[in-house]
Amino acid sequence: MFINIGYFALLTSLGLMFYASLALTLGIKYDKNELILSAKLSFIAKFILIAVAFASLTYAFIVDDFSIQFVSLHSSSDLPLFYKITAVWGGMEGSLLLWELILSFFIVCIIINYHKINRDILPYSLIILSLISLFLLFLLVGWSNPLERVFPVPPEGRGLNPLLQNPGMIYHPPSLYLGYVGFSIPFAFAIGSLLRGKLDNQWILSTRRWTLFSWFFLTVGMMLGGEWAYLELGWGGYWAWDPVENASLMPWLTGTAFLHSVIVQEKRNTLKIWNMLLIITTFSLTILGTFITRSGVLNSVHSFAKSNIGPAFLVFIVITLIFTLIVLKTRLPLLQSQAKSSDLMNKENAFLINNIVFTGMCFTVLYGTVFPLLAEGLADKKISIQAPFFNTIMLPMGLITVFLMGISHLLGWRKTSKNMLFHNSKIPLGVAIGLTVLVGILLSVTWEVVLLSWVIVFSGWVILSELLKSYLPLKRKPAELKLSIPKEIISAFLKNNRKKGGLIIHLAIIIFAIGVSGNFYSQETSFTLNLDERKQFGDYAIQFEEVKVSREHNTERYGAVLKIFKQNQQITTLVPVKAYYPTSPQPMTEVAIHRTIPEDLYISLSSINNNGSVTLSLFINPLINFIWISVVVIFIGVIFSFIYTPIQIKNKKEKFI
Amino acid sequence: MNKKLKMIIGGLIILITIITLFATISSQNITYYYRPGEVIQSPENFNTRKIRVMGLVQSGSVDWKPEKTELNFRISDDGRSYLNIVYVGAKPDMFREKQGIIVEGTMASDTDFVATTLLIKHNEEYKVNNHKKDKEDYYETVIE
Repeated sequence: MFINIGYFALLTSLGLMFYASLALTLGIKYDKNELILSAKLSFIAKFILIAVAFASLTYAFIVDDFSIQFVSLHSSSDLPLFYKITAVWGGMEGSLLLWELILSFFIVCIIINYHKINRDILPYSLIILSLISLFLLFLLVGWSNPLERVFPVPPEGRGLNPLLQNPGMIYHPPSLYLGYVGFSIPFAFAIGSLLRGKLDNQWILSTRRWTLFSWFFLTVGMMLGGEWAYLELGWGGYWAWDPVENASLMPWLTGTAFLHSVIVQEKRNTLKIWNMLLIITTFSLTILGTFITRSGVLNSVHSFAKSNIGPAFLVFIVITLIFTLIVLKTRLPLLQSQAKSSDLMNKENAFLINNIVFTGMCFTVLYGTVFPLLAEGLADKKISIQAPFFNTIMLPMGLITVFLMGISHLLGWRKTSKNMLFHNSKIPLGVAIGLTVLVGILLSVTWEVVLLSWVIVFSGWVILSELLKSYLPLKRKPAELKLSIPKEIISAFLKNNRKKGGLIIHLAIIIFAIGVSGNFYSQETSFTLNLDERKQFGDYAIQFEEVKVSREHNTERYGAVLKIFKQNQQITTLVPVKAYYPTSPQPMTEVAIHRTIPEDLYISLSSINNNGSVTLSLFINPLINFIWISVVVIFIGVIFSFIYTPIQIKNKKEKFI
Repeated sequence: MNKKLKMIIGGLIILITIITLFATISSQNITYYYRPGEVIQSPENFNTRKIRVMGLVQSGSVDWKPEKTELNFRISDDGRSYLNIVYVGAKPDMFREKQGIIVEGTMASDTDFVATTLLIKHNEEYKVNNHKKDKEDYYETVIE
């Protein structure tokens, strides 16, 4: 019953979106405010309906309604309640519904938020959003309907993939989707302002927070994905240049470029066309990302052709690109920028190089991801592109990025005085060179590590000192300062939130880079231990005590109890586990990690052998926890950036067209 | 005009350098797939560059030596030519007989393929799509 209501809600939403796109178009054309208002109301109604549909699917999961095909394929009655709920987005159909739910919610947010400002662009942007929504709803009522019935009703579900039975699974996909969907808002405003022909910086200012919001959730989503892979896949790493990972990295790269280049447009009124191109690319890549992960194209190019959903996505991307580029072309004359500067050493050029590098990285990832698929599809030649390809190209680009992060804080807009630059950079330069030479002598390292540590120290120093400066009251004469110290301190604390936010996020990226550089020193081995046998790995000695068997929820768990010693002192006991799920023929590996700030000792249990011995895979991952720390710092930085409110042009009652 | 020309030439040089670098790096890191039969026929062609070979693990061919963490097995994709695989490292979770597997490595001798990586295909969803199922059924019939 509830399911029928859910499906009916989806159908009604589809109708509403048809209506909304039509009403908006007519409302704009004939200048009828009532039509536009009715379209806005239909967006709000649609949000409620989608929420109902989502609730009905969740309900079906909770009560184990296996007459719903999607439920029977992704759940089973012995699944803990918690995972039954997260299983809603454990497959493609549910993920699309979640996507649509988030999109509907965002649209309601902007309708409520922008009922006074942005009145001129909003209807145009809403047309774009209604079209995106229509596309998703088409898929949801047709080819990928999460509420489709199956007959005969299976007595039991196939169960949720054990890999997805992990707490990380609650946050990771929704977080990515918040990021993906979030980018459709600045995209809609960009195209909306193109359609409207109003090409000042208004769309950028009004969507600044959306961009930040989306960027933040995309970042966190990827980090959580990395953490999930680290804990769940048992190969000791967090990133493998897997197409699924690359799919989320690509919009992140162009999104990051966009985040920076819009600042240039805001401050210097240039790069207008470039920004349009970036947001169009970013939006298309979020769709491509969903397509790559969800269409089955990765298993085989041939299985892609068999599903309808893959081609549907591809067609949508192509239509989006053609449509937006045509609109962009017709408005090109309006987008020419006036400002020119002859000086090379300025902030906008640093931003420009940043953009080139980020676009280059995105192209690299795109090439490495798509080329093998093309080779198989067009030439029927099966190839794979190896991780070293990505590492070789991304490392130097990453180095440039980190360096720019530091130097750009020392550059001014338009032009920078050479003396000033030298004055500001001589200390960090000196410190960085000194430390790097020290590192080079002490650790006999490769050139990659030398360069990496150099840029990290240099930019880290610049960013930290700038951050510190922003918290100190401006230098005045001592006599003047004495009078108003508390006031000065307080105002220094409250001012410049935008700058502080940027600095803190950059600091987080430095911390992240430190974490990544630990990769150069990771160690890896595997060995077999008999009972009570002890073997050495790095500074650690590992001793095998016993195999412990236990049951938990729907799993049967075999844990190898290991005593860990360091310098003959027992520091901890680790129990890596093999868990057997009733629905899965293969066991799952649950790794055990001894976490410290300098390094992780990471052990996964590969096999329990017939003679009672255990085979272990062991890894030492130095500095890896800096990566997880950086997420927290990014969060703090984003809060600062959010506090900053761009001064928006409040439009008085302005007629449409 | 002169300045513009210089800019264009400079830009072109940079662009060409980047493209050449890109092409070299990518061609160095492309791994080609071969069939077990192709590799056995001319092992001498495959002893320097890393390749990937796809096949099913033959029943009864698996020999796991825990003390040395060494895994020996044979793969085939047609039931006639079998390729010996030697892999040093922990045995992957999903490694089983009759399992579809991709091995990556080089021919160490005329008979043995030394794998540095084992990849086992697994679906995120359990739906075995029909196409793939047919193929595995086919394999199972040709490999006893």
